[in-house]
Amino acid sequence: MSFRFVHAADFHLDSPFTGVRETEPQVAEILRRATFTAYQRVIALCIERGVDALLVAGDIFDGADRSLAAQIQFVRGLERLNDAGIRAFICHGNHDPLDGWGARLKMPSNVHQFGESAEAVPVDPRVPSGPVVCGISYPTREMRSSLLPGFPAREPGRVTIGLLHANVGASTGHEAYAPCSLEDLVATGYDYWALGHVHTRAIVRDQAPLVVYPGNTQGRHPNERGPRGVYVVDVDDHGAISPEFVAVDAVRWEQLDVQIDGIEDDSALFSRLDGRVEDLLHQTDERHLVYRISLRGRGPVHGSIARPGTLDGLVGQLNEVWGTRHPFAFCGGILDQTRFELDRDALRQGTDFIGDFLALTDEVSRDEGLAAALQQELAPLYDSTRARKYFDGSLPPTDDLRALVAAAEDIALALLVDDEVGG
Amino acid sequence: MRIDRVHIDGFGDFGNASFPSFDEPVTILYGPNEAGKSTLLAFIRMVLFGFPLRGAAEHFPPRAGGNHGGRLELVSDADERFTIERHRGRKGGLVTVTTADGSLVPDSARPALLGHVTALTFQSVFAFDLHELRALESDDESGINSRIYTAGTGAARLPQALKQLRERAEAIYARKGSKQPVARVLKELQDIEGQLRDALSQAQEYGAAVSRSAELEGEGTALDAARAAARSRVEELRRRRQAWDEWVALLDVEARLSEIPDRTGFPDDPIGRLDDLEERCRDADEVVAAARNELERARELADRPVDGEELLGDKSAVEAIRRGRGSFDASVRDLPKRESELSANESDLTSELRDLGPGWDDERLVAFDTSIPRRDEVEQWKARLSSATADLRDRTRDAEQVSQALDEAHQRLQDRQDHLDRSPPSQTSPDAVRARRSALQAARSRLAEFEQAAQRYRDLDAQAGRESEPTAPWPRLALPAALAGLAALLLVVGVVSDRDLAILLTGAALVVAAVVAYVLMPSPSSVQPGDGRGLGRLIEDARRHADERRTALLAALPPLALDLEADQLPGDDQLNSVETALVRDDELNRDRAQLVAAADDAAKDAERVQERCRAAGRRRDEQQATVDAATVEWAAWLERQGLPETLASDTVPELFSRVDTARVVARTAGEKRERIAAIQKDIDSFSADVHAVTDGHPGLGPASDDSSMAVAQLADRIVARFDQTQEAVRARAEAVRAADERDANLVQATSRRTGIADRVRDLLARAHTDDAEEFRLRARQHLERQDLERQRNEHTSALCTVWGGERDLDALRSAFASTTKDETDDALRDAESALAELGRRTTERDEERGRLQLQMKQLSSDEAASRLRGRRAELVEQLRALAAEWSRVVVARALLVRARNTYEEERQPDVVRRAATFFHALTGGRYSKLHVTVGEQKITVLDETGPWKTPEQLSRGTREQLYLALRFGLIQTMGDEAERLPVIVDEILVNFDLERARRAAAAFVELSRTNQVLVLTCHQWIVDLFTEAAPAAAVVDLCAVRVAS
Repeated sequence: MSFRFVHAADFHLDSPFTGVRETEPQVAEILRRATFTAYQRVIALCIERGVDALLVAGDIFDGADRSLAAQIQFVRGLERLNDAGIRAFICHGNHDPLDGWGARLKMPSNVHQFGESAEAVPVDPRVPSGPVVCGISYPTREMRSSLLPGFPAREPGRVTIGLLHANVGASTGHEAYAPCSLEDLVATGYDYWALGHVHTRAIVRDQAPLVVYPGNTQGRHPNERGPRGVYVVDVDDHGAISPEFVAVDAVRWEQLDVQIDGIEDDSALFSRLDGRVEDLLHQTDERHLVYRISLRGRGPVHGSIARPGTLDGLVGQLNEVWGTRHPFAFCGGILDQTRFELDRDALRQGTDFIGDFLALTDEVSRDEGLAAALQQELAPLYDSTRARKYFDGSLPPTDDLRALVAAAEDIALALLVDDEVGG
Repeated sequence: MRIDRVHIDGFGDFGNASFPSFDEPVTILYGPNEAGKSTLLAFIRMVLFGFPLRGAAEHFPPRAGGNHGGRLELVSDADERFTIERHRGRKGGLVTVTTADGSLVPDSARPALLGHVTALTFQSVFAFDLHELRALESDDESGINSRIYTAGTGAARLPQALKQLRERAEAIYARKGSKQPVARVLKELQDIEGQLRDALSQAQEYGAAVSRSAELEGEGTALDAARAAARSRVEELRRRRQAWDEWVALLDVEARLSEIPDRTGFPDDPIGRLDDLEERCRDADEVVAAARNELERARELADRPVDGEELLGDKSAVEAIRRGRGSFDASVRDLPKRESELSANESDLTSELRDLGPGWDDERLVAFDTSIPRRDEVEQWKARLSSATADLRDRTRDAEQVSQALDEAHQRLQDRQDHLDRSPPSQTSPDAVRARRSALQAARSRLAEFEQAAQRYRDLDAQAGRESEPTAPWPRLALPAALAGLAALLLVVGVVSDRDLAILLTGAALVVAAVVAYVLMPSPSSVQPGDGRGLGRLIEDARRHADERRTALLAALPPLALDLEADQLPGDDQLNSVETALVRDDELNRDRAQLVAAADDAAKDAERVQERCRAAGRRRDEQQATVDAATVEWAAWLERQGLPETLASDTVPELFSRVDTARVVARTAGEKRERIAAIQKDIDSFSADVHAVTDGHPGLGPASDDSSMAVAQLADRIVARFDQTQEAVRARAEAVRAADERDANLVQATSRRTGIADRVRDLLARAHTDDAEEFRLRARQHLERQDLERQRNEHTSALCTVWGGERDLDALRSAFASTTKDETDDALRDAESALAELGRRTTERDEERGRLQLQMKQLSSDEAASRLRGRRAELVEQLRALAAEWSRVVVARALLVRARNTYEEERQPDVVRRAATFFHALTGGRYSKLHVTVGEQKITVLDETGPWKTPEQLSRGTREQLYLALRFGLIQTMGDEAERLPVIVDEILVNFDLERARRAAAAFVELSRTNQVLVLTCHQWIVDLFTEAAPAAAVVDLCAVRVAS
């Protein structure tokens, strides 16, 4: 028999945006509600497409401090599905394990929440040969071993879908919760693996069994750029499966990389940024846009950029122009990766103090002891009792230190070298 | 690297200025104030390192003109030549570096040529003035040491940089600071974390509320059931109590009904029906009697006869008279007026024909052609004749004007001929004038050559005469001797006056001046003694040359025909007279040629006008013939139209108009005559019709006479009689039709009366009687029973309504029968009390449930926690951004400190060792050692007379010596590994006393062994110091360079 379901994951309801330093109240409100809006669009999509079921592969909430509003809104959405005769299958992941706090809300009758033991549940109990969903929830956050061994065997003749929150193949950039390999998933013989945990959508395997990450439904920081959404999956009478991605995000994250080479002054820089933002907003399909800018390269405007307050002023100007529109394009910040416009190699060969200084900065990447000593210079802030938890309890890693040294070198050169003389 | 040549295109007061080659190790550029020393120093800096990006005031705009900039020719340590050329432009100016063969040096190779130093290092270490030498000074004495120290590193800005970085880092974050941005962000984060913990407890409240709400839900279900049962019992008892009176009334009605017999068959309102039928029977009798009377009156009118009914047979003739009656009256009135108009028309026609002239009558009027084509013909004749006449006038006038112009041309020719006759011709032809002018030029050239040769001869001859006289040596010795005497006097006075230094110095200066004066005094002659034979040969050559030039001059004179003696040479006056005569002959020849040309032009003009005059006469005669031919043709045309030949083309259109007018008058008169005949015919025809009718009906009476009025009266009488008769016949026919209708009405009324009587009988039969009174008695009994039945139904319905139709009557009868009214009242009170108790308990439950729901709603809609998390994320982002900025600054400072330490350890020894050597020399050996403590950034010097001293403990002059020594040490150390750059100093010795200055000059000369030294000064004594220390030093006069530019 044919049927259709929506595969979603990682709602992270009521989680805040990161990577934005300061917002206007109206923008802040839209950002705050963005995860809810995306979830409501998922519910509306289910109803509009007349699906048979919604499958949620974990991380509905963001953490131990999951908000009451998030739980209530989540249940309300499920009640709408119940009214429309659509079933919902939910498993919980590392961000919302079963031992996490809950408001004891009563789930509507159409919802099945998988427990800490894997089980197989028919999509429609009245149809003996209908599709089956097999799933499991994290009993607690720290699930560092594979959960696959507990999954039931595939029932012959029934389309079987696995629902799991896991890191398949040690995906980089994500912690290794419930790790398993692609081969492990293929070995189960299931027809479709509806996964969660990796926030960037990916069809890991495009033939039976399909292994799919839909990604999260709303990007929440600078690294979660581009469209975010769910897969609408159609299974035909012969068991052929075709997933279709549908974007549901309310606010889109983007990154602007701008080279400053050839830009003569602040005015020209603003014009360049203004044009790029306009282009970007046209590509967001009438959605709100939050973006960060990375300025790169060398050019005469570097000196102005490096002055305290210049970048904040640019952010203010851009948000004044684009942040008050509907949909808005809000700049979360500008990262300065520009360099001093000097012939560094020539200075480096000098026999004076500046030549020695540049030789020392080059040494940082080779001399671990020197790098460690520089890291220790930062300890007063990064290791302070009040602040260390906001820096994940550690000093900047070596990779960050290299960029840090490059920026520091520019700051020092600006103070040492006569920047009023051209060469 | 050394600077070999300097060329300034435009810079300050220098314009297109080239300096001589700086070949020597030490070059002194000497000139007074404003001679351009600072300008030259700035020029060299800017060509090497670029124009300042800001501060155009420091660009030395080219006040003397030229492209802003210039070039330096350099020789590297490897003895390769380069040229750096830079002019003002973007990014410090447009610069090109070329090698000796003109090929471009890539940008990447330029830093090596410049020793890899920055502009600032070059300015502070290699090319500086007194102000910059002292730039290491500070108001803060404790800072002097550090500044001197960093001067030795080549990073003059390092102390300020370290200080700024420390301030910038502390402005972001300080360990114990509370006002820095990081502290503020952390404080707000702490507050938000607390608020978030509170928000978590709110969520726990929500869970408890959900549980209690579920319990209340269960309690509410049981309570609602008990309340429903109690409410039902109370309702039943209230209904029974409310219906008790209806129940008693129902029992009374049922008792009365049982006493009245039940009769059937009565219609509704039987008595009223009987009364109505009896009334309608009486009305029908009255209608029958009235119909019978109307029938009799109608039959009487239908039988009455009509007089003169036969006139209706001539209806068509009478209708024709009626229709023609109006026209007859109009014709009778119109006839006299038409006759009067005809008479007036005929009179007008006679007058028009008379005006046209004899021979005109009605027939000719009709036949004469005034059509449009004929009128067009007349217009064409008119235009042709008018055009020909106008052309004739124009050509006659042209001929007259040309004739007058011919007279004027003849007069001009005569005038110019007379002028030519009066003008005298030149005696010399133009060719002869040109030949004499060439001869004059040749004579002038020969004369000049002769005079030059003669002067040369005279000069040599005079010199030979002077050499033969004795020479006097005293003028060459006079000035030096005077200066030496004065110097001796001052020296004596200076020694006597307790060794006054000023007087002694002045005396010494005068001694030097005396020596210079003696050396520089010119010798009395440029020709050295002993050259007498050579001079004689020169004089002889000059005389021979003068003779040759004189011969050539005499040969050039004959063509000029001058009035001279043999071998006499001409003067300028005589040659000028010849030139004046040549100019006069030129003017005469030019005037004569102009007069001849004017006379020729006038003769040609007269011939052209004569030809034009003849042509104009021919054109006038041709036009006269054209006019005559047209006049003859016009006369022939008039004759063909039967018109007089004397008519002009202008008058014919007027004649045509008058013919048209007469023709219209004649046509109108004819139409009038035809109209009068028609009117008379209509009058006669109407009279005949009237008489025909009266003749057939004598009763109408005869006509009084034959006048029109009598005919009209007779016609009116016929029409009136016809209308009367016709109306009487129509009234009779109407009376017959009315009699038939009345007869039918009588039959209908009689039938209706019979029907009503039958219905009365039927009604009485329904009460089984034929007596009307008996009928009425039985009907009243029937109505009373019907009323009681209605009351019984009403009571029954009221009882059922109280229970809403839920209970039937039998059930109610048994219920009422089982109790009494008092028992019901007691039971109702008990039931109401129980219901109130249940209501109170329900209200309490609802209130608690409402409170819980409100609390849950408030908790669920409370988005403060959500906002707090958003704000926390923003603050964390701000904190990380601040930390990143702080980290950059801290790392920058840490790296600078480490670089400084490394520099101290690895480079400082050489710099300090060399600086100590220079410092020892500069101080005349007083300070023998210089020491730097690594890591402490402190310099100490060892005074041979005492302990180690810090720079703060030195005098200002000694500190300046220390500044110099450190720079020299650094310059030499940097030169070990890179290109040795030139050292350029501007007036840095002026504050040194003479001994210090001498030692400094010697130090510079020592430095010049490795680095080129350029000294800019306006003081001669500094020049002397350097030339004393380095006799080979070159001295360049800046003023001379500026003047040459």
